[in-house]
Amino acid sequence: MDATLTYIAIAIFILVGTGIAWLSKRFLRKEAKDFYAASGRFGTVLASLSYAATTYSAFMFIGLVGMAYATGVGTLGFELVYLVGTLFLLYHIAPKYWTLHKKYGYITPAEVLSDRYGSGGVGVAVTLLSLVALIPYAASQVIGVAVAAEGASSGAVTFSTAVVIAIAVALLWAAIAGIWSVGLTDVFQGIVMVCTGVIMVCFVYWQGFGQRPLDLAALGSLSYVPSSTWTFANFVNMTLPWFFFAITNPQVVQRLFAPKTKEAQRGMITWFGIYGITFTVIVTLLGLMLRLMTADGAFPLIANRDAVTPTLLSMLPAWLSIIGLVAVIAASVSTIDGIILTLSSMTVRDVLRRYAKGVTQKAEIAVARITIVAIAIACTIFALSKPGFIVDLAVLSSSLLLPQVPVVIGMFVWCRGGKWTAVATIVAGFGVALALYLLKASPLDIPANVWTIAASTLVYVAAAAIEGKTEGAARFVEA
Amino acid sequence: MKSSVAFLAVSALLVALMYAVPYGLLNGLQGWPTFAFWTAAAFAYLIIVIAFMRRGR
Repeated sequence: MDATLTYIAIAIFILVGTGIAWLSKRFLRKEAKDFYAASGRFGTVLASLSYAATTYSAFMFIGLVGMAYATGVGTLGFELVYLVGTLFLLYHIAPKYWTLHKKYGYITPAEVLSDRYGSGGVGVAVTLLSLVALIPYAASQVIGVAVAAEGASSGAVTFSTAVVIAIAVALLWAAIAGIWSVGLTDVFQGIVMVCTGVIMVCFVYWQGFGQRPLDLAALGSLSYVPSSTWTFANFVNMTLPWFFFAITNPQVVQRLFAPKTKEAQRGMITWFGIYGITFTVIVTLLGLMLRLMTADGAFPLIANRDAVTPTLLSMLPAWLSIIGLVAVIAASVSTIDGIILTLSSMTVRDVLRRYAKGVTQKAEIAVARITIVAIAIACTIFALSKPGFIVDLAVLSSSLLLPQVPVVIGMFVWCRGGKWTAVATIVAGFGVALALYLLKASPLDIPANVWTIAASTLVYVAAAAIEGKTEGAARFVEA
Repeated sequence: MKSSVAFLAVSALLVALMYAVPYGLLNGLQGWPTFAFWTAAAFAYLIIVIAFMRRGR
């Protein structure tokens, strides 16, 4: 695929998306609650596709395909444990967040925690943690786009150009009408992602295997676990932070405020589940099929797993390569703009408003837009430094967010614990996660993420027991 | 309350199976079994979630 075709495809995608984002402005009311949480006016389709597109990212099209190719079927288990964990948490916690939003008008997940634990300092701690953890995650999405564009165009579209384009689009779509432009472009992107996945997997099967049935046994040890990569300890370590993704990642928690009714929220959970299983099976199958084709000599042996999808895109017919590239961009942008929007809302609502009282709604949205730009620049700088594998970056981000688990779950089941409990839990858990990551250590052969969640839970329980009951905590338990 | 406890128990069992079966029963078995098991387990869980949501309405 030549550079001109690639640029034309990207331009059409951006034009269509920007058109949708612009149209979405008609739904936006000029208030922060609507800019960030749609004032709880999303229907089932909008809520479910927006949730799915925000959750499923370049991590799927680039990271997971490559991971399945390199490490085998354990990748499927890893991603499906995430899905089951998310459905479990959504069933229990989504209605509670929705009720709290409707009753008390919360806009960010950190606001809920600040109120429950009785101090804005908790919101500041959660916001700082999210900024540290999610900027690398957002950057990993940009890297996904850039690697795909570079590979699909055989280097004609450079890595840096693709990074700038992806960030600029995410920035534009987040700033136009906040959650409305993000949500509506998510619907467009979510459809592009799953349809492209189906087309690609069918095409690769038809080209690579014809009428032959897929024989996964030919993959040998890659068709089962445990394997050299997917030892039981590593499987636990990788799946643990992912299991709790739905309550630790603020960009998806904030989506729980958006459905207009509980019925719409139940529809969101159902359709997200159907989307998730379909998309996960498709991308994993794609990676495994490419590995089988490598054994047949029909696909080159790729050492760098993040290069698997870009290599595939460069080998496909131009029309499919273009669609594939657009799908990768869609997957990435739909996640980045959601993250940027949520981080901006937390920075403005949970940090700025704490220190600058009496800010008007108009000024708040203006500052939010400036913050969106600042966060986008930070993501660009991080992405241009080309750090690590996409999957590893994504897992690191989730590990750093893991200390929030006892704080969030505790909020809904226990009346004990206040600001010191929440802050101590987050600080201790973050310290353990970071230290073990930097030292590459798993003491007593227990996975690092198990230590993180154990340490933060222990600190939470001990501190809450000492701090005692907090006033107003019962309304969160009863929500 | 009863429904919530039942859901918790079913969820815990299914998650445990998603770890235990591939690493235990299907350990070393080449071909589709592991792939099929994980897919079926996730699909079954989705059905369970939908059923519980309908009951809780």
